[in-house]
Parts: sequence; structure tokens; C-alpha cells
Amino acid sequence: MATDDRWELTLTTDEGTLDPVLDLVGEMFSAGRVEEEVRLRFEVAVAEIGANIIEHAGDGAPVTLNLVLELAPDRLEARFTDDGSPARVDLRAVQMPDVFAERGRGLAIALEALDELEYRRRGGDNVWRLACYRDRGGEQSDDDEVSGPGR
Amino acid sequence: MTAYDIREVGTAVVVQPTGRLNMVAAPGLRDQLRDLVDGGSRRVVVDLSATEFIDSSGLGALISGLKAARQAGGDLRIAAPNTQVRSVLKLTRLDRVLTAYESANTAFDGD
Repeated sequence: MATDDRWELTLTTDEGTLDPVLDLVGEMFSAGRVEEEVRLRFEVAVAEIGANIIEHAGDGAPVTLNLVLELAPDRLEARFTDDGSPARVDLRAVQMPDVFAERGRGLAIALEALDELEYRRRGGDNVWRLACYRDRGGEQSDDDEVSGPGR
Repeated sequence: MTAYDIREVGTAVVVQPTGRLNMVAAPGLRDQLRDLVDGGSRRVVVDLSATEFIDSSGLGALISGLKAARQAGGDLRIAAPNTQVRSVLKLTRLDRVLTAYESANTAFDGD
């Protein structure tokens, strides 16, 4: 399924769907040198958006999920497409919850980790597009917090 | 439900999740931690040395266990997180309440 810089899978969701999703991300990482800081941000964001779709898109029922990953010289991209219910979410209103909250961190983590996160409804499908830039101009170091743009 | 290996180190009980700690595994860990506290364990260590990956669900299970332990007058500490886990703890600011110790064997040393 993979070409040089593109990986894809289509499946019907269940509780274990995150494993093949993360396995595909691992396959992409093994194909080319991806900086660790970018890899960490991208992987957790894909996991969080994937979990969000698995948990919410079907209102408890399975949905058909397509994931396309692309490895470009300047960025990593993931595009999730599913045929579930429209996501009732306002990404502009998402905030990291209190440290003692037991739920509600998923989208906040994705937003912090990514440089771009877009959701739209297209042709009866939900489409999520995630992007991590590979060069942040040296602004990051090991001790810096991983954060999104303008944060 | 997966139940993870448990061992005792001094006065602490150590739980060791393995693999990916995500929406599949997190509910089991949450229940296991609460059962330990309900069963009288006050010092709980989650040994993350075999945890490859954590997401928001896994973090929720750790926070649930931390709250349960503290409400019972004890504490929950984490040990040996890999780079991915440390990265997510920092990103979510949970490193402020879940201090990472180098080893499960030393997480409660000096207390």
C-alpha cells in the first residue's frame, strides 16, 4: 500500500483500530529519517485524532475509516476520512483541561502537538487533516515545551 | 480487561503496564489502580519502563489512580518513562503532578 512517501489504510473501526493506525505511523518513520521531536508530536496527534474518531464518529457503532500519511521534506501530514456523524467540535474553543481532569485532553494534545489541524465535513464524510512542520527554525530544544503555533 | 504484573517493593506496590497505554488498555489500568487503593495500598508506583506509548486515555488512568491514592492518604508515583511518555507529560503539564522517578525501586525512597 505504501509508495515512497505515502502510506494508506482503510478499515472498519473497532476498539483495536488504534494499533494498525500507529503501526502505519511506525512504518512511515522507518522509511525515512524523521527528527525525534517531530516524530513524537506527530505520533501522539495521530493517536488522539484516531481515538476521537473511533470513540465518537459512529456514536458507538463502527465507521469506515481511511488514513493517508505523507512524508514530505518539509512536513508530515495525516488525513483521516470517515463516514460517521459530523463531529460536534469547535477547535478554537479547545483548551487543555486542569491537571487533575481524567478526560478531555485528546484534542488539546493534538492541537498542542501539531502545526495545523483542520476539520471539515465533505460529501457526507468527516475529514481531518493534521500537519507537523519538520523545521521549526531551531526554536525547539530538548528542554523546550512542545507547543503549537502562537501558543 | 488486562491486568498488569504487580510486585511489592518495600512498602510500595508496583504496577507495570506494557505496550501502548491507550483507549484499549487505559480502562483496565484505571480499574487495577483503584482496586489496589481500595484494597489498602497507599503507596503505588506505576513502572512505565515497558510502556512504549501513552495518550490521553493512559494519562487519564494515571490521574485517576493518583487521585484515588491521595484521597486515601497515600500517593502514586511513576517511574522510568521513555521519551514519548515524558514528552506527553510535559506537553500536558502533567509533569507538575506526576513526578517521574528513575526507577520503581527508588520511587518512595526517603519517604
